[in-house]
Amino acid sequence: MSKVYKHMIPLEQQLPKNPERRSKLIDLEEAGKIIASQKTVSIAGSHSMDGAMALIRSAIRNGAKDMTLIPPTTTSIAADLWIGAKALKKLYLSYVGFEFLGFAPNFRDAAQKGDTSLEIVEADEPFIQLGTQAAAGGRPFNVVQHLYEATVHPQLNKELKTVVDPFTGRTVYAIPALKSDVAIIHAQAADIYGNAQCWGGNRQEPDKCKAASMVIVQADKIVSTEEIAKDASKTTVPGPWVDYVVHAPFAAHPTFSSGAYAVDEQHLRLYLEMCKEGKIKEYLDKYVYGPKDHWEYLELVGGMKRLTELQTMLAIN
Amino acid sequence: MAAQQVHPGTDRYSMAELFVIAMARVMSGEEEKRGGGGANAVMPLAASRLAQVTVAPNLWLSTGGAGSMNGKFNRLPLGTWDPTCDIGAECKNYMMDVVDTFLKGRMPGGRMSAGDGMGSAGGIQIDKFGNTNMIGIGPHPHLKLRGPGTVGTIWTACAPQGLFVEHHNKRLLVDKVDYISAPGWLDGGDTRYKLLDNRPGPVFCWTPICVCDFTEDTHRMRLVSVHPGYTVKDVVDNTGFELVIEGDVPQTTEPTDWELHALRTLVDRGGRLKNRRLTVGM
Repeated sequence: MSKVYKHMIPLEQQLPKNPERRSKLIDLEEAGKIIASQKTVSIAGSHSMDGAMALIRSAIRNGAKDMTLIPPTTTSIAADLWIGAKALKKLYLSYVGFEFLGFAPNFRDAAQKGDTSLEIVEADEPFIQLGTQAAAGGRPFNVVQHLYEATVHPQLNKELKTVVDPFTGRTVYAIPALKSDVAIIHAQAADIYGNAQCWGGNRQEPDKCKAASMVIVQADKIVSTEEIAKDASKTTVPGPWVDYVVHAPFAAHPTFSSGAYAVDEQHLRLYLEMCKEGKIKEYLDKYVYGPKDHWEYLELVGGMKRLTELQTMLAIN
Repeated sequence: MAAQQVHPGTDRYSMAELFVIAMARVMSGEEEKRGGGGANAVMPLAASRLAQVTVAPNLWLSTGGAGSMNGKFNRLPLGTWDPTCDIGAECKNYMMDVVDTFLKGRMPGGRMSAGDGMGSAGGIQIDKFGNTNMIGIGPHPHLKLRGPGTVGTIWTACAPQGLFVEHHNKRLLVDKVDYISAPGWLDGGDTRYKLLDNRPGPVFCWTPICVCDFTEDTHRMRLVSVHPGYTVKDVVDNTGFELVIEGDVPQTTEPTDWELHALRTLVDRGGRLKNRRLTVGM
């Protein structure tokens, strides 16, 4: 027998050098560098909720540029900030806006000024969700009918194609698989092995993870695996999918973290105001490039007092 | 002739215990991987749990379609559906996750194949190229023997899984399966690579009396070791195809006291493996 067959070697002779499970915790800046080195990034959360903001700031700070963003079906600052920082080359658009606070300033600027450096793919909820779902299962595309036959999307979005339904002969629309290099996910709690709990939201995160080559989770709180194991069904991102975990309290700030703290409306208003006054560079300098780490960012946006207020708002709202 | 039961093995260990221990040994290593099994794959489940608590600290213990992952049981479940699997589980693998991750071939992290470890498939027939049949025997649809259906055995198409059988006889180990419902190395050589986009096929085939793998070029099943108490002739006489046999085939290393202690205290406190019915012959 020339080949080494491990089934012939007793277990006690194969004990690992390190018998501990390997932690997936890394530093926020390290995560930012990893994200910045990728080409296509996808994010979950929705509206101004559960944004992977600490990771996004870190990626921008670490030089992310020419990225393609596959956002959630609705998003605000989690897309607008990338655009303001000139980090995006291509955006799959479903909804980028601040809802009751108005339009997304940097997105609008880039789009309306005919800024050719940003390609906008005229996507929508089904396009993003079904494209992601196709990629999640390594399928080449997903199929829909009774939608784009009636709209302008096929003229504007060349990634939409038609295909013949082999069962009925009817022409239907094919949405391509939307794979990403890295999915960055906000979770309220995670253990160091990657089991992550997203307490709210609309479950865009599992498909985004499955459709990605790499998954990085930012967690408001690190909890023990015993805590996770109290209810395995609460783990919305299973550990085996996850490459890295970053611990960053209030990591979704200024967006809402489901069940943990409220949206920082004041901060969003400040962001919008500064952007409208053409001061996006000042905003970035102060809140993205300026702080030496996440702790300094948290101090800058109001520290313990403001952050505690945001937590309390959820309880008394 | 009634099938000869191979349990309880020797005074020291049962053949099921040897089976599980040998399987656990190949899962050693600190890298992240997926182990476990689905449905009635209790043997791979036991082996994966044993590997996890001894030689593979970063193994994810999956129960396939049953869902729970990294259950921390020390009594062997009856099957992966048994809620014993849920004790201490850390996350769930929902059915769509099983489908997606197998179709993709790799877990999202890309670190491990969806079928890494000995997550395993069996069949009512397995042939010399590791193709398996869960459809049945005889002309379809009025089969002479109707199999239960092919469940998730087709996932062998997506990732290199282990094959295992708890019975070793000529009816099961056949030259050519009546139907390929789960692909092994198809017609051998590179036929699988051509049809399935270079996705590798089965690595081992575990039986109650021996361990086989597949040759590097023809991908035919090769006998690599024979369990204590049995001979190469026993294996050949009870196999329905010609196994590749290269030189002297060694005896499978017997379970050590250390291994038996680990298995009986950390995985199988109830002693289910002592009485599990494995058979050889028809």
